[in-house]
Amino acid sequence: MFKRAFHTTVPTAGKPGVSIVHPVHHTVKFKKAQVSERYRELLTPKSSILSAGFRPLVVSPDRVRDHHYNTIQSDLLLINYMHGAEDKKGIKMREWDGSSPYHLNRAPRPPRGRSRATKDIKVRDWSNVPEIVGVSLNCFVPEAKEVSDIAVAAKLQLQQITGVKARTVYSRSNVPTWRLRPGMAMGAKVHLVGRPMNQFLYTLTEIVLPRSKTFTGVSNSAGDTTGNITVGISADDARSFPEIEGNIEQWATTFGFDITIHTTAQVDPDARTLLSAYGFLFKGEEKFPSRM
Amino acid sequence: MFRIQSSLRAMGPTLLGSARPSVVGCNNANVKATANLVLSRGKRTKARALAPGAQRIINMLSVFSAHKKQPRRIKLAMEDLIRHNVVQKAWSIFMRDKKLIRTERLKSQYKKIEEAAEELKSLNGYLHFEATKRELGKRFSPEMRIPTETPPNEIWHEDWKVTDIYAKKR
Repeated sequence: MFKRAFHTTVPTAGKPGVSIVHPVHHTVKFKKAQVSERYRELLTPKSSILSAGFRPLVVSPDRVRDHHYNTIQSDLLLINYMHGAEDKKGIKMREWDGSSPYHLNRAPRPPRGRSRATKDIKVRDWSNVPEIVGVSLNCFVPEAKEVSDIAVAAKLQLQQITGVKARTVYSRSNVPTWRLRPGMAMGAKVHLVGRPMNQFLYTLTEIVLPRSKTFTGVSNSAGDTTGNITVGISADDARSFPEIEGNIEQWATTFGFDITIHTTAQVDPDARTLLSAYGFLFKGEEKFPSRM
Repeated sequence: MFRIQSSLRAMGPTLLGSARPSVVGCNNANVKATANLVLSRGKRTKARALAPGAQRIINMLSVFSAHKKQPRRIKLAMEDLIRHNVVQKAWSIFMRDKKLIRTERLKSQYKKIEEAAEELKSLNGYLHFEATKRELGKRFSPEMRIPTETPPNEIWHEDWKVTDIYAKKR
């Protein structure tokens, strides 16, 4: 359902911000100033070479992507094959039976013994072979609470490692005993897709993790149950990224960070199988959800 | 830095007015040092130099800044623009076809797997059961490497065994 709304104009001195130009109201609310001729260039999509933000996408070969399409994809199709499989319905929220008029707008209950509903599992076929769609790095520095400049260094580290501009993360909660206020810069994060993602992945699996003295493998219990696996990198391991190691004397302190690998796998075990093809090693006992 | 500048600005008339300015009401050590300088137009004073820590932060921030990093918009003649659009379109069609071929290949592979499993089922139930059993926790070989453009001279260590490592350690 949509509501009709007046488009907004900036109220100037003494005049209300209401348009009298036809059509006065629209189904989509927009700012009238942005329709101005001055902003016409901004409407050019970034994929167009006429845009100021144009960046050519495919400019170099990508061996990780090629490896996925040439080798991993068909292997995974065979590994995940289940003969005569059917779609499995996940455990859903429990609706009220409607015996009382008060059930009408009451929120459904969570499944019995669980806090949230689970997704449906579709048949694993050629259309949903798992693949890595993105990698996000999250660097949270508790010391930045005292010295806010540390968050700048953390942000620079992520940008140096990935080659992608990182974003500062700010605290949102107010804990007076920790002297934590909303809006304090506490670290940085960055989301990688495409070539920067693949470049980061092979740097990680071929250079950083094999040289680590403390890393013994990705935990088999890591994962958010929907196919996204998280692994932590210590501050010492961050020093073995070539971009940091290149001028290590400039990096008095480095920061550990979390790497979340987003995959299209429907359950975590499928995601682990996929990641093992990229050179990740796993440790610990693996649990398999009954719905897989 | 801002504090120093603003305090200097506030003291501006005082500095110009008397040969030996007073620094009363200003406890900042840096400002005290600058107060004795002879001001000359266009000359850098030491007060502008920052503490090394602060300068390092500014250097870091300048890395993030998009200033002078964003390339200018490419100005193309109409012919060049048409040529670019044609190449772009051809490239996207090429990529789409590649994706289509890939999907078709996967699809036919899936159909073949299905067919083979069905045939096995009709021939021998035991073999079918064993062949289509789920391999939970399946892992690719840890020795598998992503191929490079410049592979090593010895591609695969044929004689390598897991036990060799333990033999060395002992």
